[in-house]
Amino acid sequence: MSETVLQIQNATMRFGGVLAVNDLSIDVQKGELVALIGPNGAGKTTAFNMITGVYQPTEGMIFFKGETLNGLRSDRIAKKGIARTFQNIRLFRNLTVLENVMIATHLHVKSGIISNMLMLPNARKEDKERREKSRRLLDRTGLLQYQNDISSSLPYGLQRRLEIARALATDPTLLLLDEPAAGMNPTETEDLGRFIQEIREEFDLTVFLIEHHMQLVMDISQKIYVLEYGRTIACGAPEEIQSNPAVIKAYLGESSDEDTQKEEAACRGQASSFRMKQSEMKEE
Amino acid sequence: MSFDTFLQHLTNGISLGSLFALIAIGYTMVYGILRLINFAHGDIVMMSSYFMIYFMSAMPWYAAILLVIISTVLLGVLIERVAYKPLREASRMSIMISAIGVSYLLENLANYIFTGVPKGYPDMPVLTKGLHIGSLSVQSASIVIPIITILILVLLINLINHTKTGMAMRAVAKDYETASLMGIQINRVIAVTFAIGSLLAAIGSIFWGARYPSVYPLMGVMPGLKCFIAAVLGGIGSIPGAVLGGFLLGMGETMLVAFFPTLTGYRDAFAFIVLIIILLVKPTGILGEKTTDKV
Amino acid sequence: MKKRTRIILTVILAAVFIVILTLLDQGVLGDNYVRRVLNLAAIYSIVAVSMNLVNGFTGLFSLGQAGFMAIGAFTVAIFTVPLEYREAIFYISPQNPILAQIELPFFAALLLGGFIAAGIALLIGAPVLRLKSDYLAIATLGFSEIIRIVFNNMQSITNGALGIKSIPGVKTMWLPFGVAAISIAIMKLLINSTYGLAFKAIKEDDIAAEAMGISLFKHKQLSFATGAFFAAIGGGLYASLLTSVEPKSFYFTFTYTFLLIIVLGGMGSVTGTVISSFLVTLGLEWLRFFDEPLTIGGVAIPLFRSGLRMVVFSILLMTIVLFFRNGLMSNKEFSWEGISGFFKRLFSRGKKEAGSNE
Repeated sequence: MSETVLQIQNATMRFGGVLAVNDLSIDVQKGELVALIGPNGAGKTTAFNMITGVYQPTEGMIFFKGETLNGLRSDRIAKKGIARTFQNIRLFRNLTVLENVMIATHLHVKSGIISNMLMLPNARKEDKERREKSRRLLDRTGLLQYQNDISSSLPYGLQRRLEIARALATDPTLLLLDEPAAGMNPTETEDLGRFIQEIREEFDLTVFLIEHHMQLVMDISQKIYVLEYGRTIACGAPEEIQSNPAVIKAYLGESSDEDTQKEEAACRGQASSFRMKQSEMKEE
Repeated sequence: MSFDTFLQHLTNGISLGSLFALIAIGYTMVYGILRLINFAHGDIVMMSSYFMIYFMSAMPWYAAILLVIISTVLLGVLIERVAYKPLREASRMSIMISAIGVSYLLENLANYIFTGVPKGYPDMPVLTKGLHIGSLSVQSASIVIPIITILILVLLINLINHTKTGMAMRAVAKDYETASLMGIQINRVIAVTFAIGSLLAAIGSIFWGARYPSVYPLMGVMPGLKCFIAAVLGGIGSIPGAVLGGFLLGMGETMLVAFFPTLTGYRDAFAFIVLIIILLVKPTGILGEKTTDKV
Repeated sequence: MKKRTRIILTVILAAVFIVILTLLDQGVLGDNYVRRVLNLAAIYSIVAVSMNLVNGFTGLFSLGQAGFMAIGAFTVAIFTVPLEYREAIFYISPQNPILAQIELPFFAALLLGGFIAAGIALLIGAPVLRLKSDYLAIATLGFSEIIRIVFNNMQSITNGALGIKSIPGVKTMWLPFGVAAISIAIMKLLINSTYGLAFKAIKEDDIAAEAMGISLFKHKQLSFATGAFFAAIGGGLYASLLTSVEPKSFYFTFTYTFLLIIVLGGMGSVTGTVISSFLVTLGLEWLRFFDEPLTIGGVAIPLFRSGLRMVVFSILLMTIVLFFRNGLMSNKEFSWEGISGFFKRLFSRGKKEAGSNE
């Protein structure tokens, strides 16, 4: 039976007077591909930042595989198995493509500082393995030929791919992708969609993605959460979302507040019904 | 300690505090606009003092003061043009290194031109006259300086909040790029900022000279650092904050030595300890606002 | 280039250095003045590389090297002055009774200084390393000053403002050069390891680095403490070279010299820093002629007098900061391929010109 990998419970993020995220509740099951959409400024990246520890939630709890993430720093969270890409690419610009990926394998290094400095046999072995793994990831993402190039010299689309390869190198269970298709044309977006589904299988991942390319979202997601002004206004399967009046209003502007509230309650209800099902199953 | 002695120390503290405040304003204004710690600011005070010595020997005091102010302002604006403007797009480290370089250059230049032998700051009777108020004996400077500092503070607050230039300065401080896109002449605004800062440095040097008449190439180093710390204490980027920080630091240092004379040797360390504490407890300073970076 | 060729070239280069150093050391080449300047350059290179490790490679703007040097210098000073001289040195107030009895061999004191500095760096680092770059600069500068001021006042431990003299001196050039070679090698090994790569990642983008699982705190501390350790080693050697130290020498402006060196050499390059250390140290000496009155053909050139040297030096620094921000070697290291590539380009340009002249 599927387990809940990520659970956001009534999370709120306040920056001084600004309410960026308002009472957000999200559930992601193992192996799912869930999308987070919404107009600009809705709080999507803020939600990602809360999950990965860049911001600490003002209120509410975030759980990963049952463990609390609140109060943990980003590196601890990465070690637990959450990796991400960034909305505005954050590669290590002056380092090579290979180095970018290698760095992401540093967190699991077992040999100590001295062994590494002196390149003792165990460190050398580990280094070789990390290097091979990094090269395999680069090969998988079609970047192996660029391994010794400076990462900032890559064209934009390849830089985005490199960010994904780098995130994969941390051996994540949950992969957060922040607008991975930004700036891509329809063909590239389709390829990306396929790619995401493939790596989900290959690396046994759960994927949570923020996107604006609706075609991509509708094609590959199993569940979609729609955010507006920091609140969930809809959630469900792609077909439901597409015809949802509150969503249409948020993007285009019709429908009423009643509908929005009903949707919010439904989403929260869904989340808690998942939890109830979980605890029921545990009792069995 | 008797009440009279305490009052004496208090007056000294306020006097020192206002000196710090005047110079701290220069730091805070430049930092607010450029996010740069102008390491050279203390050395501009030093150069201003030397200017006074040379001008005073050639002309009456009112002409000398005017020329000192003009030359100090020119110096400040020149430094900005030559050493900071080219690096505006570079990393913060680069521009700070440039500031350090300018500071170093000014100190070495002063040492070369004026030699390292301390010179005496010309006496300004209006400031150094001894006054007796009740049982207190103070320099007239101790009364004059705080008053003028507060006046300047009021003037500046008006400038910042009620003039077009002031609004431009606030805009540039808030968001440099957008301000230039909105048609604000960035170079002019920055030049004006440095001009005002240097103007205050010149005035500060006059008051400083009244209290500490010894002028030597490295005289601006420690006070410069302390004034920057005062600006941080009060809230970097905030002019009232700089004044508040200046007074607090000046008072604190004076009181420390007053109550614990054995710690006189550690006097300078006081400012640094305050710095560490404020950076840990409230890095934005007493009057500063909290900001978060967008990721 | 084949690996064998590289090894042979490196061995030859090392042999050349060893021969030159032996000749200098034995007095066959040069005089005491030359030896002293070269020793100073070697010592400066240790401190400069330690500063580059922190500032250039990890991107932490630290201005605290002078303070850590002081720790190393005074540890050596306090523990290696022969017991019989101590009373005369500590004439204002006697040396702390416990310390007065301890005399350590040089290397023990040197290492002790290093570890004390590293320990203090860890203490300082805990609160300070999370600050933004400009604040970090001022904070580390502040601590450097606090250390100096404390040393200036602890009469019974450091002899206060008087400082300590009669420190056993440096008897052979192999001491500073040997320690420099080992220290720089260790720091280079760290930089080349996966931890060094983590440092570079932190410098490039610390938020991304943290998101990839790199503990900012742990790694910044590692870099900072290592930098402090070797700055202290440099300081200890410095004390030995000068045979006397006083707190006054470790004013924070001392750190500016090392800042200049690493900017000149290239902030991401160890080779650059080493070359630059020698250039700057030797250059400062050579520039001394600016301090003396100069006559050319009987005509006295007006500007040359005491103080001009440092003005010229500062102007050079500003020129580099403004126009040659990447320094000599930017972030490249020494490599035989690099050198042969350089010569190849030189000759191919010559060949092209010769060819076009036909």
